[in-house]
Amino acid sequence: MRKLTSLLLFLLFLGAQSAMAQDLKITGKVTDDAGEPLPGATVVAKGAAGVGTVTDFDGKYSLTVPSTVTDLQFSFVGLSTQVVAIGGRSVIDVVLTQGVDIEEVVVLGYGSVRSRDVTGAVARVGSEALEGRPIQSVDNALQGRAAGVQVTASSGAPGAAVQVRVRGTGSIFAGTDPLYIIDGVQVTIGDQTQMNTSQNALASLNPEDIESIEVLKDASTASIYGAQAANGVVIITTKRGSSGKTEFSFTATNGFAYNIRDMPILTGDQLTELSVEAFRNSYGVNSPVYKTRIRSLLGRGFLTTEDGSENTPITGYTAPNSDWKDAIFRNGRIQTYQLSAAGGTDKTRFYLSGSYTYNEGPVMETDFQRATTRINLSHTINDRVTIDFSSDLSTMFGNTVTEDATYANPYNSALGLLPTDSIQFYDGSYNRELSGGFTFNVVEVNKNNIQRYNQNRAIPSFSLNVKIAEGLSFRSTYGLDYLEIREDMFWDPRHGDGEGPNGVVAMGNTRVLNWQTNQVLSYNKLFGQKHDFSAIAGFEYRFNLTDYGYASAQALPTYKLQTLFAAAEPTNAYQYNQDWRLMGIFGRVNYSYDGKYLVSATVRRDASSRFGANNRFGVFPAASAAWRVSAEPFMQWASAYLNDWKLKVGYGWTGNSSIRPYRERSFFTGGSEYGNAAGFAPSTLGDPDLTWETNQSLNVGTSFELLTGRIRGEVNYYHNYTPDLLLPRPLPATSGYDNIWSNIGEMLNKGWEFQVNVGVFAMANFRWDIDANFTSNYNEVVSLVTPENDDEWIYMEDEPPLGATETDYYLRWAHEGDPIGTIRSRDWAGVNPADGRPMWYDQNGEITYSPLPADRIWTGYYTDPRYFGGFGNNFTLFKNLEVNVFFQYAFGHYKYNANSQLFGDYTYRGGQFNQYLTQYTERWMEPGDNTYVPKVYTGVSGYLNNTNSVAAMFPSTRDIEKADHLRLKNIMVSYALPTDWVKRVKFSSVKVFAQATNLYTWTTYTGWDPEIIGPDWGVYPQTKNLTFGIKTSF
Amino acid sequence: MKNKLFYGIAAFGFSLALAGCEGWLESEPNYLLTNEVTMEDVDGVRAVMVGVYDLLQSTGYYGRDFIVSPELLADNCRITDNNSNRFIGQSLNQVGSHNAIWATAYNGINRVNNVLAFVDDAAGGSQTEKDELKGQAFFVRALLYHDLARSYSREPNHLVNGFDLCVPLLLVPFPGITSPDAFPSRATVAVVYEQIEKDLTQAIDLLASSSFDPNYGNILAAKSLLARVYLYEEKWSQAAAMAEEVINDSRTPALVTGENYMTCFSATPGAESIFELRFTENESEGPNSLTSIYMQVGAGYADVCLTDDLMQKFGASFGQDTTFADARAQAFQITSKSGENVVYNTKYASYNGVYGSDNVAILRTSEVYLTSAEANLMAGNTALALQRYNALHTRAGYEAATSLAIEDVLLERRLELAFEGHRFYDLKRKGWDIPKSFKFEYLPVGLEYRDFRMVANIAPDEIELNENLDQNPGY
Repeated sequence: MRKLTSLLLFLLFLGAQSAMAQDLKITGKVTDDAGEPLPGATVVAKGAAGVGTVTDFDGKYSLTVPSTVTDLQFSFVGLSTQVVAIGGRSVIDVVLTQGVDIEEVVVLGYGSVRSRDVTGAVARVGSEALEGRPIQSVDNALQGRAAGVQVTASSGAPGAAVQVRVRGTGSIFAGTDPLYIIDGVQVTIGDQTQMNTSQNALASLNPEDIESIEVLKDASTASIYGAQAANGVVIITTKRGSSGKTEFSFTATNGFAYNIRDMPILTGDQLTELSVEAFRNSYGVNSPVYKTRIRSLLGRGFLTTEDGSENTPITGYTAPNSDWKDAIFRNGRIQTYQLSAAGGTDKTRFYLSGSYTYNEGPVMETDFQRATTRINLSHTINDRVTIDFSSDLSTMFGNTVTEDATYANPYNSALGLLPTDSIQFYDGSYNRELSGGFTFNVVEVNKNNIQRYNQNRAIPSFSLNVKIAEGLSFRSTYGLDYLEIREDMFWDPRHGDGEGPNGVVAMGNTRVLNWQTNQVLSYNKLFGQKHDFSAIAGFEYRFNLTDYGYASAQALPTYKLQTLFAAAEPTNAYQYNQDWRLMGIFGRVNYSYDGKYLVSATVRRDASSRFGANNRFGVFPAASAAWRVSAEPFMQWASAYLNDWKLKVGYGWTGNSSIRPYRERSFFTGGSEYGNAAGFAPSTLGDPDLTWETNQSLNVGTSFELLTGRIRGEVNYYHNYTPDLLLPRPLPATSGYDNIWSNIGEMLNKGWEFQVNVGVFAMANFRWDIDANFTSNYNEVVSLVTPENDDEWIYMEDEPPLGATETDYYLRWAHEGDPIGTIRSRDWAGVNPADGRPMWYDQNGEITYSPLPADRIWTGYYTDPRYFGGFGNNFTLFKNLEVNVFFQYAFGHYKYNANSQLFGDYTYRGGQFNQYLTQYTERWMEPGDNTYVPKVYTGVSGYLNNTNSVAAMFPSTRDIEKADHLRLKNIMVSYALPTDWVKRVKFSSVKVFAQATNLYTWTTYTGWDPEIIGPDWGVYPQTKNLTFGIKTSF
Repeated sequence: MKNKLFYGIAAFGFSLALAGCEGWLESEPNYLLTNEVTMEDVDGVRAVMVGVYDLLQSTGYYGRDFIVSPELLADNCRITDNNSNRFIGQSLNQVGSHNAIWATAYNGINRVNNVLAFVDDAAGGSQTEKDELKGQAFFVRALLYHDLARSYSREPNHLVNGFDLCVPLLLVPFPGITSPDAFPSRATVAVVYEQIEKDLTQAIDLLASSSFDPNYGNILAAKSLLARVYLYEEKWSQAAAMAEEVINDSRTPALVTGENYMTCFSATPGAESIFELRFTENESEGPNSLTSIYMQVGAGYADVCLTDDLMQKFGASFGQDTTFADARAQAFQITSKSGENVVYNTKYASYNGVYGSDNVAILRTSEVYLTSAEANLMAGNTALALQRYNALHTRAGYEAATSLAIEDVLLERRLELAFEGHRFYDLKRKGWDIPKSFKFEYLPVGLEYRDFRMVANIAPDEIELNENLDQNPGY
């Protein structure tokens, strides 16, 4: 009751300090088991981070703790940590002994180390960043949380794929995603669907089940994963039970999803006015063409003239104004329910959970559902043998709409459909006679068409641990990741894409089977108190089979039957599969002297079926060392506030083998056809010397802990160089082939990472913690095909927008000397203030009105951020009320705003598409106007380079915009109900919370959202979420 | 006991590691065949030949672009005011807008070279079957090289400033990137035409005993193509002789009557087809088809319509209802698009019933007649020229001509073969300028013969990748 009063008071007098809690002063002495005093031992108040001290030269300490603190924690390097209950005492003496360590550990490959003994670069994200968040997938949760880890949502669609890059983009054409490992199983990630535009296999994991996520960023930590580790490794560990009373936990959240922003477009009147102006500019007011136009607009009632005929001046605009955006966007819903039970006996421990998530997107007909169950069991058979079992079973359903550059894409159509066309008639039927360039009534089309997937997945793993002798143990793990995706597509025969073929149905089936086992021997021993030695050696095998099936047919008797069975004409059917195998042996040795000098060395030898017989085996070594400067006698003077200071350096190689299999031999493939006979076509020109990319990675860093953990931080510098990029080396077309995959090309990523946690205030009733990280990454495509040529470039795959010739829109390139994703475009020179014509610079730097493809320049604008990171503020009041404010940011990059080229070019489109409002407000109207929107024109004149007309707009630097942004990613307010209340209803805790995601973004970018991957064309906008929830334990 | 079991498991695990297990790393795709396996028997080689015909059907080649572009580059067709932004460059003869068949043609040449290299040693199949495959391969290679030659170089007698480079001549399968032949330079026009003649002569020999099927390379097709090639070389008497050989062959489809004119396109195969790419029902090119670009039907683009000039040549009289004097106007669709009056052609109207799957006649009897008329006229054999000319002229509903000028033959050729991909190349091989007078006075007015844009540019990427290639003048 008292706390509630305090809370109310606090809320009433916000910011006023309350001093109601009593503080307690505790003193004592810390010694080792020989009775020697331990100077520099850490004493921390449990549950009040930041409240703590270190012992003096005599092992003595004095600490004032809030009365709410019940336990003190004592720790010292190399000795086991102890937690002692205060129990009302004011003097507490403690003896620290050798023994089982309960210090925070970091999961590294095939084992773990104490976090303070890490010699490489590892980022850790704990469950607190995941619990209760409205995130669909675990990879989303990493955004802005870890230095060096850049997370970009590829789409705002519910359940859409997420792009994760560890220390920059490491490859151009081979994989760039890290290796994901869930409870020891290397899992399939990314979009595995065939027909849906965005799906994320990893979204099958319930984020609430996760205990921690570790990201291995450098070679010294990751090279134990050899040929799969070049892009980093993400190790996900799920929760496990501990012996004791069974604890149930139930979480429910509920909320809304909104479109992240509104895009202002023209009203019917404004569009009509522009169209009249365009005809006037093109033909003149006395021309028959202009008069015909006015007559037609008069007939449709879009405008009025003085005497109602086309011969007198216009007096006003009276066009209809349909709100397509309103019809397409909506307020989505989010619901999550999760129940878990954790507990066990001395012998058997369990964590069981089940969850259900429903996420309705803010765009019509898009949603995502997931149901999961998890069984994690551990059983101790005897003092030598334990067994672990983990299993994740999940199902996901998603309804999606096309994100391609098509007329059926609702978010683009929402902007481009003409406001002068009605959406629906009074009888409820939809308008199918649209007069603009977007010919589909997307509201009806998306209502009736179907594009959906169902992914079912199981990730079971079993492992056996045998303690063979003191310090020597053996672990044998068997894991399986099986996922199956069934997709359905239906195009209604009554409209849209389905109208021509009279209805289309298609079905896709994808199965990914992934089996693996590893056998690991590990040994660790402490020799003579100070020589800590550990080693592992192991073997691993992984087999991956992906099987694709697809069938489609057209001509349906009615829209009411939507199965292949009902269709008259089969159009396509295929099945094929791809497999790859990987086998490796590996070992690691760690040695530490007195916790002061630490060295670690790993080596892995891998063999992959994806590479040529000549180059199938590869060796990936790494070594690292660290020096705990703070443990040196000469640093003793600082021990009172410098608790830990470590310098570290590591160098090693990791491999990238993620290319599609079967590139090492020359093949013919089927699928061609002539006169009902099946044919063969050459598909691949193989290179028998093909092998993995090698990431040669250097990491230099330091980590520190000040003021008993009040300030903790880490700084790393990295330099990752890949000398043998797997690239499709372009061949002259005379060869009959497009390319041959070869190990050519070099790439560099280097940068700085900073991560700091500060306990700004650590008082009993008010705590303020800041958690911030910053990364600067510099990427350079050092060389491509031939080392001697310095100005080579290569296309990266992107979808060209509607009606564009391909080469105009290949906007992301790898160009020597520039960062990956550099944009090549025409150079915009503005609108000529004298006559309103758009101008560009040609290749000689002269003004041109009809730029050619050859006039495109290397703009120096690139699409990956140069600087990124995040920072969070966590406020705790009276231990019950917690406020978390988290920002995420990315700077120093550009995006091609293709929407603004399409919806910012009245002249070229001639009024076929609705336009951005700026087309009206900013347009050139009279000589002297300085603007970026040219004089409007219509018709074929838009194409011509004629002094009387305005040339069409081309993709140019006009529409390349800075994508810098700072985003208020998450605000969470949670309140834990007072324990005495909760106890009364037999609960152990009840917490209510409210949070907002993507609440506000500071950016100058004018499109939907700067967080996109390719050109801004047809991408599902990000969403803004508002959710409320309750979490109870009992 | 228990411990022994666990040690056993441990030992098993490590024995796997030590076994090496080479077999554990083998993977074979179920949808690909290695080159060696593909080519080991005649069935495989035949399937590769099927793949070659499939390639000819691409949208970028005979599936659409190679048929449409020559009409727009010349004076037969124009783009409608309201359009989908396709072929704009060709219609305005913009720099770099031409017939970009380079990559597709060389892809086909590499496939054909594979057929020719492996067919003799392939298992199974009779000598007749092998000869037929080889004959077809030689025919298609000649077709590909001639299409390349007329797009990327001038004709032998019409060089400009003596620039005589044609295209690289590749006659064996791609030898691998370490071979110097991987980066070939351009052969001269004379050498390429010599090879085309040689391929066709071999095709004629090898196909002599095979039956006539217009959907595949055949002896009449090889002879008709050879007649066309002679015409481009202005070897008038050889062209005339070869054309007459085809016309007088009993297997050659007869000219249809005026009223049955559309059966040249609507029948399967076309009533006059000597070589025709057949598109089956499931090979629809959909929105990228000839139907879509040339006609207003379904969800097509309907971007390419007749120029006023061509309409007048067809004897159009404009009025309340536009009418045409020429019988071949059966192929016209008179309509409007977004308020603009336009005339489309219906030679490719998806006659087999599935939208976007038009058969494409590449060589047909009428062309051979016109070749004969032109070659005989130029060779001084006016009587035969008049006979062949009048066969088509009277069929179209005109009085028989009694005298003949070369312009008459070319006009007849323009009208007869309109929309079939000949017009630009016919003007070019004659060394004539391209006249253009469109309805918008501010459009450019065609090309002089010597203009560099008459010849396609080699894609800059290709020049970049192969330093042995010289670009065409002007680019």
